[in-house]
Amino acid sequence: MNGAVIENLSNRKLFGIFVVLLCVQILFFLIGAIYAPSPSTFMEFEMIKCHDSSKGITNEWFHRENCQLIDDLSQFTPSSFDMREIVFVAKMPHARDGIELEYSPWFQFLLGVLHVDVEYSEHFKYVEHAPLSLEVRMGYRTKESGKNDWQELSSTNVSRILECSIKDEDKKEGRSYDCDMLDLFEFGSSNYPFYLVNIRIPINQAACRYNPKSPNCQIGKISELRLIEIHQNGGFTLIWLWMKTLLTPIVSGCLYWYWRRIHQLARNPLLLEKAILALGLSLAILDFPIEWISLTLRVPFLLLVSDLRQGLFYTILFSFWLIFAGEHLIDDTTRNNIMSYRFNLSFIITASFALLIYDLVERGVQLYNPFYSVWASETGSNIAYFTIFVGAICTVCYFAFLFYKIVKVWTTIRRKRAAQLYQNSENRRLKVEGVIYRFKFLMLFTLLCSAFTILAYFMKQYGEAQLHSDDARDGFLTGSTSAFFTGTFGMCNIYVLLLLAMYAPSHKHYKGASQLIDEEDDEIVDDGTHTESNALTTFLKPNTD
Amino acid sequence: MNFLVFILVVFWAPPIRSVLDAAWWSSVAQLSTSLAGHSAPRPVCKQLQGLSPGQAQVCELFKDHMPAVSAGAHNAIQECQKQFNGHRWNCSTHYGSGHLGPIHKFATREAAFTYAILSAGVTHEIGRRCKQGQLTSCGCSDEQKPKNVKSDFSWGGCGDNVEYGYKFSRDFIDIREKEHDPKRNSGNGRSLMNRRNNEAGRKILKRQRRPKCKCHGVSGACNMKTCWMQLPSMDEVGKILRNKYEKAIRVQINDRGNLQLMMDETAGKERKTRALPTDLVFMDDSPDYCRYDRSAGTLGTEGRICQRGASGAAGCDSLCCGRGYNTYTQEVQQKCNCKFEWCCKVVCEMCKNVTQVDICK
Repeated sequence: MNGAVIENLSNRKLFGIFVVLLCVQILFFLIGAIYAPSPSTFMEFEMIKCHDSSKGITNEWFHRENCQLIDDLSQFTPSSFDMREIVFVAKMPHARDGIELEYSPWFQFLLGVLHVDVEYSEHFKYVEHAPLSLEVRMGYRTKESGKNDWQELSSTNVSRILECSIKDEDKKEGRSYDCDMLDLFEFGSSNYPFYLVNIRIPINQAACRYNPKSPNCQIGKISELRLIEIHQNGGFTLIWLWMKTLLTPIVSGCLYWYWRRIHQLARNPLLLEKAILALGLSLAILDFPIEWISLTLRVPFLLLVSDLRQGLFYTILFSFWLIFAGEHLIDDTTRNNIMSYRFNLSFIITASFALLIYDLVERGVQLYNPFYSVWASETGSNIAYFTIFVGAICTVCYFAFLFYKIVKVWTTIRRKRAAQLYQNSENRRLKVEGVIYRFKFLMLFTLLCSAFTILAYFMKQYGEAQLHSDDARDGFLTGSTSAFFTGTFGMCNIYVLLLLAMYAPSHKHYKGASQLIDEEDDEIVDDGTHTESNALTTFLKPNTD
Repeated sequence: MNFLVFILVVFWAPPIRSVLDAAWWSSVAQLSTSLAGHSAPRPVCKQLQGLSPGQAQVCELFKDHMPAVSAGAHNAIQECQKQFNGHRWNCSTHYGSGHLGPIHKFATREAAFTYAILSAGVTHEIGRRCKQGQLTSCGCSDEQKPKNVKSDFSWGGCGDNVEYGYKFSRDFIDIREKEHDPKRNSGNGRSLMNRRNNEAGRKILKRQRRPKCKCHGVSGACNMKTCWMQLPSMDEVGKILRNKYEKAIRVQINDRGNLQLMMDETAGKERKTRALPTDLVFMDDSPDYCRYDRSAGTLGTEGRICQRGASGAAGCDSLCCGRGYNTYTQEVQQKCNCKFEWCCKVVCEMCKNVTQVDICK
């Protein structure tokens, strides 16, 4: 039986490693806080209203240049019944400082949110949960093409439910409702520099008379449509990609080293070792900077891929924690067998499966129709609520179970130590104490990482709140959103790398460098099952027999 | 106030050589109506008598902003009139004076309110037009002057539009208070007060913005979140400013030429030692708005409609200042039995209503 690296490491070296890792961790935070801009940004568009004299028959694109501007909808007298002559127009992005801005592939994704401004009116009553149906055409233009040479990107009918509220005291002519925003579109890549959105709100008067619940019959008096476009900042993408690119070889190298260590063993690898290997592998997959190709090619599925990679990593990390705790339960004889964890693991599998379904439905369908939203339809939002509910319940159950396991491990260790440890030889006592100490140290490291994450999360929340105060100043904390992302990303990597390094089988055993271990191994070889995951259980096992 | 009537007024009213200096908002409105209409001789900013030299320069540079400034001022005056509807001072101008909105000779509370809501209105409208993409020169970020807008945008995105409106409003409106105008002898104190109230209006607008956020992490999780600020309506700004008007703080100018709080009758109770940046400040007592006085710049309440028996400011006892009122019978045509048709169309019948109107003597 050989030990893991952690058991053969002196405290001084361990301390040294921790200090170095802490410095690296701080570096990750600082990169995010100082160099990276905030992860995402927005641009707001108040859509201008144009009059289409052809009443929507032609396939014409409407933009600022050919727009017969309608300044105020309430002053406009339409000549058609279906209102398709009113076109809401926005060209993205805006010009700023007199310069025509462009979207760049560095933005990774573009998503659009629609705000409908509804005015209170005695005559045009808004009814709650009013179905809204929009005719949306989205065009794009490349840098080479002419100024108003728009190509069609997507043309679709979008249905959403308009949820608005107003206070009773505000129910006066001209006051505005407070409406929930609507998800409009989501592009998994940003490959064109300019976009043009044309929206019509058609109405079928006959259908309205027949059934007031028909789309657009109860949406009230619309005064404005406001479009908010959100994208990832190019600067953040750059720093994020370089971080991934630099980390990938390190993680891969470490993974290879670990894999070789395991294969040099005379026995089959233990479950815990396999779990760590899987964790390392999922981290390598997460780190791989596949996003570079999005800068040249049009790959809208990357957003989905990055979701899947994150999902995979968290699934394996959670499974690993469970296995790690389980393998340290000394009294449990069913260890080193993945099947004995099937009940507990089923929570994680169910949770991640539920979220996978949600993600595939939402972002998967968006690959074909960027205007799709699960939340738009009744059944869709039921499915979405159901999957998220199942996911949340399973996660809670999982953590309750994990907590129970950890408490069990702690009590077992304490009991063993109090009962029998001090009857053994001095040599062994020291060793066991040391191993328990190191085991606890790693458990605490996990807790420390979680604490850091939570702290960083609150810092991020605080920083974001600062941004929305009266006078936004660029302070240290306002950059904390990026720091949160780079910091937690760095922490994930450090955590897994440390596990790979510390829990790799030690060389010192088969090179005979450590006399202490060899001696003890001889004494306890009688258990003969080779199911121990590390030396801690090895030492304590004989006491239980 | 009907905009059309106002346009006519601007075009047909003979230029009045007022003892008061013409208000900038009135001049800008004049300019933008002629920019919009295609009347042959385009007035040049520098010829407008209401603008200070600095303002004329800004106006010349940012001609495309002037319709926005005018619309913003117009909204502000409308909101002001809505807020003071039925009060002795109701934010109105003497008909035919060629001005839009009230003009204040003294540094009163009413002047404070007018200045604050005007600068808020301009900020609001400029911000709105930025969002519409009508003003291409809107700034990109909060920094003073980005070196390269294009790469700034791809690196870290563009900032808030209100910021630009705020800066433009400050540059355009406050500039006249910083210039020394020999024609204006009211002195430094009034300028300081105006600047302060302008700033208060803009600050209130900024402070009333509400963040709206969208979560877009994995499966819509909120670890990735983007927020933007939603502008309040002029309605909300007007309401808050109205409150500030009630609690306006009296100041005086001290020896060093700074504004100083006056320790007057309120000193006994909660003594305020500092005014918030969003507080309105004033120096002079309000004139008697009951009677027409050209030298004080008041219109009087004669001919105003009041509410008989009402106890508030709009009640005839208060509004007519004890002069009494005449009652007339009036036949009003009103829309009634309106039928709903979506969006922009209501079909109504016209009904005749006979009502009684009380008008101050």
